[in-house]
Amino acid sequence: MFSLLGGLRRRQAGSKDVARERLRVVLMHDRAGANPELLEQVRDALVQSLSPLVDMDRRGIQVDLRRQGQSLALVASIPVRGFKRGAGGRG
Amino acid sequence: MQAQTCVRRHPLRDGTLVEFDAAASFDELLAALARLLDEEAHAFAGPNLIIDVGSRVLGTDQLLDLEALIRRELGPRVLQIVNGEADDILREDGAGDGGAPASLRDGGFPPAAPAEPAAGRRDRPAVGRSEAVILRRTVRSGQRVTCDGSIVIIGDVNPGAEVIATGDVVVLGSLRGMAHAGARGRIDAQVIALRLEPVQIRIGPCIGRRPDQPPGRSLRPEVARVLDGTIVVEPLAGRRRRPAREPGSDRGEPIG
Amino acid sequence: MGKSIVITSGKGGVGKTTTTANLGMALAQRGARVALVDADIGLRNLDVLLGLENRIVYDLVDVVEGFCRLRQALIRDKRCENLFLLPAAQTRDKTAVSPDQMRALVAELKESFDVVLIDSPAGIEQGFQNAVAGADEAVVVTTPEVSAVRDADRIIGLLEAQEFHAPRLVINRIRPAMVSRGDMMDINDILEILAIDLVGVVPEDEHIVVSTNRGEPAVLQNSSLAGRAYRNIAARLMGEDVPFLDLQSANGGLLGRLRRIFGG
Ligand SMILES: Nc1ncnc2c1ncn2[C@@H]1O[C@H](COP(=O)(O)OP(=O)(O)OP(=O)(O)O)[C@@H](O)[C@H]1O
Ligand SMILES: [Mg+2]
Repeated sequence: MFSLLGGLRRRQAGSKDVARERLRVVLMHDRAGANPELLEQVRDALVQSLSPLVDMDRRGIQVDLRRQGQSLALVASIPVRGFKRGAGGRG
Repeated sequence: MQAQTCVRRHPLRDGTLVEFDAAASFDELLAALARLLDEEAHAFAGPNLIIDVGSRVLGTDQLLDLEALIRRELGPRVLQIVNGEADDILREDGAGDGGAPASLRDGGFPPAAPAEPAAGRRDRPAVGRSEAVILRRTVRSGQRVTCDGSIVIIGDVNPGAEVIATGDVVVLGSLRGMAHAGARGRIDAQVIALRLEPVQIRIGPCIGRRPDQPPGRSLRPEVARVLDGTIVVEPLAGRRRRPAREPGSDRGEPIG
Repeated sequence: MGKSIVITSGKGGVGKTTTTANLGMALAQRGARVALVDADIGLRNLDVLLGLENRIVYDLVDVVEGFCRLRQALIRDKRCENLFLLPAAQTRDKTAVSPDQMRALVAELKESFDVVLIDSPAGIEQGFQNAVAGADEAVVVTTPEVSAVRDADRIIGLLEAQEFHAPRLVINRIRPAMVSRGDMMDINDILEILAIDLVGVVPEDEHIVVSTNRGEPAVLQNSSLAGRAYRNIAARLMGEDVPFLDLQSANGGLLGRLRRIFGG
């Protein structure tokens, strides 16, 4: 029901929605690029939330935003030394 | 070896100054310049190219050869030919960091002095030591052509372009930009154009501007000169008979 | 002591110069003493839009280089005696002027004018830096297109970094029919993204082309919708509370949405 309505509305809406979506993605990317601290924060948050589970090489962590067509992907590369003992049991 | 020393290149803030040796012949100079342009074209950055020909007088053919060589090797440049002013130009260019040398800004001529038109007249014999400089190209917006003496432009002068000469300005094409004749104060200088539709004309210390409601386009050559302190425009005297069919569509395309 | 406002955009051709000329004329017609500064050195246009190109003797670079006094370079408008233009140099480039020199120049203008409007060149390079150097406030012009809004966002970021605390937005060339068809971003879409105050919306208007041809800003024509929009913006710049034009009578939603945004 909802998806049907959504589909109908999209067809009626014309190109402005496409424009708005593209703009949103482009600007997220631009703003993050203009603000390296933001990616630093993302990196720190990742480290914090993953460190109980994963033993990683913190210096090798890379966080980046990539545009993939109509959306933006947060791409993180985290060198993993190993998984922490007992981590799987808790989750 | 000698040929290499007979043209000297000096970088300027927005162009290059080339100095011609006084002793060399014009053909030697042209060959040396061709070699220099070939070997060091990259060093001729910037829009302006000033050639100091010293005290020599270049004939029309020589000027055209020079201009053609530069156009072929470097593409369009604002070419300025001066007589023995290299030292002044370099000094002004190097002085301070306020931008391009004054010589490029106002042709190196002192500002028109309204108080002394008589002094301007006394300049008269000095002008004309060179034949008129001839430029075969369209002078476009943002370009400034200056000349010590009279200048003939074979082509158009577009809005936003400036042509400044201490002598007369003759445009064999449409003059739609700004022309300043008699830039050192000569009040008897003239501006002549096949189509005279300038934004502004200056002659010596006088400034005339296009009326705010431009009159109909004139299809015959006109001359602007100063009468009783104001600039008047009239048909060029000794009017030739024009062909019956007016070249209405060829709105001042470059001739020749 | 007047205030100085830079009109800027990032993207070229979105209507900075049109906006500067029309706001200048509209402000002057309201009685303010207005100086327009063409900071687009090497590509001057403001003189042509105002029909003053045939009066230029000295320009901004001549003033900065001490070649003439500021007063000699200011051109009085032929229709409105309290409107003045300081033209850009055409045969020079942006490097002929430094931000410090612009700051001093605008400060001097503010002593004798109520409003100093500075027409910025496109881009974010030195020309832009010069244009914003002396400005107290900024008006960012955009059009409802992805590229223009994106560049506006970049400019707003740069302005904020330079401590322009509240740049304001003009959306130019809105085409109401396309907006209602859903083929053009509407005001709401743009404001949502840029998140700054709107100071005016100017419709696409053929009068603008005609008035550029004639050198007569559209605010001088009562029949021009864009002219009316510019008069309203001028009033808002002077602190008046003017309702936004209803560009979209077919879509009553627009005004309603604007009201919601501005609590009006
Ligand atoms: N509301 C409008 N309706 C129709 N045409 C417009 C409108 N606004 C601007 N234009 C046209 O858009 C073109 C660009 O306008 P303008 O020169 O003011 O832009 P600009 O931002 O100053 O450009 P630049 O970045 O080159 O300085 C002009 O041809 C102008 O007539
Ligand atoms: Mg502009």
